[in-house]
Amino acid sequence: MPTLDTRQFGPIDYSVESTLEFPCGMPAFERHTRFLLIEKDTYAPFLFLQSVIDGQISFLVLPVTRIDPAYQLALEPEEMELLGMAVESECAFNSCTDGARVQSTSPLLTLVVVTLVPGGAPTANLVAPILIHMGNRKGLQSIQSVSGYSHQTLLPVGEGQC
Amino acid sequence: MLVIRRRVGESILIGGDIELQITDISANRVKIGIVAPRSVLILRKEIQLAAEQNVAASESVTLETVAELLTQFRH
Repeated sequence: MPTLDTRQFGPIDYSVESTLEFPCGMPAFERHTRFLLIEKDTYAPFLFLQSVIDGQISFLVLPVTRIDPAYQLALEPEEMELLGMAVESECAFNSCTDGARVQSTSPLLTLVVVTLVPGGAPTANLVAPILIHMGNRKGLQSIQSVSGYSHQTLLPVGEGQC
Repeated sequence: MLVIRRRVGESILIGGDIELQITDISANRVKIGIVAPRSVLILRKEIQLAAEQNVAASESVTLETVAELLTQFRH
């Protein structure tokens, strides 16, 4: 079992089967084509998207439904292809301009990347969700260009008790 | 900003070695073919924004800051 020396958790053992394949990496991290999704009870519901290429690189991510249960995802045919999903036939034509709407029965896990600014409010990038196909473990960061979402959406944090 | 009208199949030349060709137009998007030297970086603008946000996000994550965030996050 290979070991990865991670910045957050030190050396961790992982199985090759558990890695996620990001064929295009992520913007600014194009060479990071394999990731692990690290789930720790202590940090739930947050998860760590850990690069396997470089243990120093990881992202704090959160299922988008934790921020916006009604989050609308529109995928380009090229993105569906990268994720190994069947492209709806009507979207194979140029007339399909808004991307394919993803059904709620989709195998996709939609995560958003969280940014913690020292002294500032934590934000999540709803314009560029991380999509992971749980069936074939392929992933990508999609850009929702015309969504109207913000790349710095404030996390629902507050002073009050839960 | 310079604005130029073009039809499908027509091109625009920028400098000596960059060509933009309009290859298709539909109701609310255009398809553009680009011929440029390999040294020229071509990016969709929104990808640049995502790249900057990714860099900021990856640099900001420490277990301490996440623990602090958890104390405030409404479940």
